Amino acid sequence: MSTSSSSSKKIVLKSADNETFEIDEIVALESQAIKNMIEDECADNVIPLGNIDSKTLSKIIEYCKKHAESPKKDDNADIDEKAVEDLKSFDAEFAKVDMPLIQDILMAANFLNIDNLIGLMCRTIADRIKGKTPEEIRKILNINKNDLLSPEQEAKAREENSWAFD
Amino acid sequence: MCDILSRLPVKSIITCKCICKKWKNLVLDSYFVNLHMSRSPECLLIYQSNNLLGSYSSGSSVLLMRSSNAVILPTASSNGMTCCFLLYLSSCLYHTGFLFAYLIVPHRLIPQRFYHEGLYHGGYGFGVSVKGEHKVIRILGESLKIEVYTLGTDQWRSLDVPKYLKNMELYHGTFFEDQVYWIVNDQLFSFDLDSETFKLFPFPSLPSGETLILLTDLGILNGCLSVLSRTPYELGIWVMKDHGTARQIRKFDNSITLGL
Repeated sequence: MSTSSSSSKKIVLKSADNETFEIDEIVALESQAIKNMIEDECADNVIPLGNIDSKTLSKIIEYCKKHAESPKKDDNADIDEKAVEDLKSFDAEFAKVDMPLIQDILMAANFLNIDNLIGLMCRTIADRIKGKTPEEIRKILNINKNDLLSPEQEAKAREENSWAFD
Repeated sequence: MCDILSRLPVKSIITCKCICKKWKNLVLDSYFVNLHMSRSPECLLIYQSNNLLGSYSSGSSVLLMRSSNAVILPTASSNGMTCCFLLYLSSCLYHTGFLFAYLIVPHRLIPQRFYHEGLYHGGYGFGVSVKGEHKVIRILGESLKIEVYTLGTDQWRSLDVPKYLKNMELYHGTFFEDQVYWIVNDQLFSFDLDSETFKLFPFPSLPSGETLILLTDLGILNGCLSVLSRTPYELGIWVMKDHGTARQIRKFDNSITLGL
């Protein structure tokens, strides 16, 4: 598929708060879910995404645009090292957002089935809780207070794993 | 959630056990353990003088556990996981546990029980059943007691002791194709991790009428279970070609013979 012919075709995405985003089809194809819809000819002019708000959706489109523009690994064996580096630094910058937005992006990427973005968000969350204490992790991820271990259970778990808390 | 947590190093996963109930159940699940294993780099386990455990992979080493008041004993291992026996020596409390895919499965004991039931000198084995459950089995003490622990549960379950089983002091099982195998006192037997039953395998007698002495070394050779044996004249490595029934096991091949 050549980029020039497909880039002319547009897809419109509509967020939960009724904002519309017109994007090139090639950008939308980064999402396996949308790709399936287009292939099954289920996609009308406008694809409603009732569970993704506009803030999250615009971030996802930003990501898909960048990744759609970059040469794919399997397209070309002698891929430009600079392009790989460029994409890496883009991903690093992209992930520099607050935790609620990261979680929203992860949920949306999961819904839209964008593998690379799911991986990036999971890695980002993992990096942020790595080496943190249980209290810090609960705060970072806003863990449901009703699901905590009882004080006795927690004390027991900590004692058993005391070498991990050094 | 599994996807996120499986990207964390071992130490962080242990911390995850105290975050909340959901996380605790999640990291003790076989699905998670397998996912984490698949994302972990291959490494060598380094074990030193009873109180240091580390891993080494592609030029860097990680200290997994250091303990000044506990004795760490690696026992059985399979598929990159090592089951460790921890003996904590503090003044008033003894407890033991296992390092299970680097997750500690606790078991608390009072000192009297600890010595009487021979946990320290028991024989251990562990592996993964066909159903995908990670299980640890231990055979304890002179009074012989067999217990099984399934990952994700909170207790050891007792099993019936087969008649032929005798003292199992420090014999650790070898995991191979859904079974854990032991050789003790010239007997080869297996434990099926799904049915949780033991099976004894008879060995062929030698044409010369010599008695075959099996050594305790079990291993995996070319994808087959192998046994080291000895007669007064030779050392042999025996490879099990077919397994499952006593009849089939008579097809042992004496594949390599070394003259002494």
